[in-house]
Amino acid sequence: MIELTLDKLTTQKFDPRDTTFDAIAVIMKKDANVFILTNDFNAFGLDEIRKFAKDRVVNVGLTEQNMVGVAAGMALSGKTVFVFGIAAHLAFRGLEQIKLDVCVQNLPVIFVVVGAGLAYGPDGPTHQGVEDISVLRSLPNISIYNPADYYSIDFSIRNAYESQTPSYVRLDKEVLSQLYDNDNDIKNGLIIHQETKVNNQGIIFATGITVWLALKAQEFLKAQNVDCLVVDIYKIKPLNTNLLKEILSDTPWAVVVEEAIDCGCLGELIAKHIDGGSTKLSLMNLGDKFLLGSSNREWVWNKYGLNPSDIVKKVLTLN
Amino acid sequence: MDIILLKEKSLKIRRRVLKVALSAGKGHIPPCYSWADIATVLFYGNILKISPNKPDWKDRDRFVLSKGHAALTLYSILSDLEYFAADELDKFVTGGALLPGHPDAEIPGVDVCTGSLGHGLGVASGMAFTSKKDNLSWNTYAVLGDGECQEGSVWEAIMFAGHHELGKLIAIVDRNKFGATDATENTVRLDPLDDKFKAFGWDVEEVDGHNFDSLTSVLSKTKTRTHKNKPLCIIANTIKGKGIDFMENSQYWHHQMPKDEQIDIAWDQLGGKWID
Repeated sequence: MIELTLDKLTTQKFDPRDTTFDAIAVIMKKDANVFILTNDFNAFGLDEIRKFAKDRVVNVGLTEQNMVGVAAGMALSGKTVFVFGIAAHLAFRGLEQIKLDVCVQNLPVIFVVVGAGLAYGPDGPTHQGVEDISVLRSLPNISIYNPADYYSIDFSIRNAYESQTPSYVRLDKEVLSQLYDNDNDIKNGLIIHQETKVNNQGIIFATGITVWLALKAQEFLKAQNVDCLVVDIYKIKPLNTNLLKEILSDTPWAVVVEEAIDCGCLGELIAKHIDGGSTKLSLMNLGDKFLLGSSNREWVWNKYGLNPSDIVKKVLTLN
Repeated sequence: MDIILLKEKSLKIRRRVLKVALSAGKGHIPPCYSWADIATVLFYGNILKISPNKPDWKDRDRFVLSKGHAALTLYSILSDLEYFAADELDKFVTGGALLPGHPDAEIPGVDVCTGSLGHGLGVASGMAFTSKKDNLSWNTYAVLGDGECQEGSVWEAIMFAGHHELGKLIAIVDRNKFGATDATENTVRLDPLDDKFKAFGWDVEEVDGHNFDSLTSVLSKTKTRTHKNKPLCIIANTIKGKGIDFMENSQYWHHQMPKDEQIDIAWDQLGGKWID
């Protein structure tokens, strides 16, 4: 049974791709040295940019390895390059180029990828983006962003551009609502959602689309008189470890909810920063398995227990 | 530099490569020797527009050694041109040294980190694309191994460069006809390589990669071809291990080190034993 749909989670609608290209358009209007490369992948916002910067949007065709190499060569020649494609394809087909051509040389190449987590779940393992964070976070120099709302997408794009270093911005395909409205609230990379300030609160960590699941679980828990924090980790790398340690310092329990495989997941990172054995930790993710068949997002949430009600159940066993 | 001096330089480079490789017990001598004469003409024959005093000079020609395993030839030249201190060569592949087995971009004079085959032409294409877009004066030169032309990424780059008519891109294929363990034509056939490049929209020149007159003639023309709307591939027919006969054209010589009497033979064939 589908317990919760995205429609019920979100009210205002923002297409992550529109938000992204709106942000890139602002940058490209100011900086003539910014280019976009795409592997025959398109978006409405990309066409909008073509209207004023046709020569700076280059469709290189289905040549992901070359696309990354070309981006590196352009960056070595003074350009900042956005590379647009599908997460599952770009991160893996172009992986060695991302590592050697871009990250080793610490170049301003910003990968903007659609299909975070199970955004393309029904399309099968060829299109699911559930291992990319695990793989890419092993690479030095790259920043990884996994925003959950339109404002943090906009901030991620700006932050990546300003850093002038390798960056990977994951986008969902679903329309999203707004959670944030100013840079100050989100600039630390971790965003704390707190209903009321209580000492020794438990924490639900989430990233990307699962932030919405976590917030719904927080609401359900509140109704049962369980106050907890939700922490949106939209900047996975570099992780704000100082703030993370501070948040974790007196936490009795923590749950990490992700649309990701277990190996190399965000939960592993959180576990690394839990000091001593006093915090009970539970990782809620996709385990160590490929998802075959049509893995519709809500179907997977039910099967793998990522729904808000599953989070609530888990929290109640830890609280 | 006239041909006699180029030949002398080339011999010195080969001697330096052998000396450093023997000291380190590491290095790809035969792949270094197949492009040693090409490198000599590029760097000493007034082909590459570079400034050793200003390695990051923005108007320099870009140079990408895509066959990064043949780095010792490049290092020997960069050392000779004083891009870095001469004693760096003696520290090749030792702990914490500047010079690893494959070139990285922290080395003065090295534009691109290479060593995993099939990367260089894509990066070089990005450079040439920029040069063309911004109507800049510099060319991009990439030296590829023929074995690495078996990589799919190379053909993606060849298509890209042909499609975008990157006339300021010059790819030099070191056609020594060997990969690491076997002849290219025994593993995945490359010939007719010239026709393949032509079919992808490139101009192609073929040259004896050990003939200084021919190399100088072909490479000199690249300096004035910026009006051309096709990238240029120079297929340089070379001999892997050129200069030491027991290494030449052998599938058994790629990264092996000569031993015992082979060392004496090698020095004999390169003009006599190295004396510090």
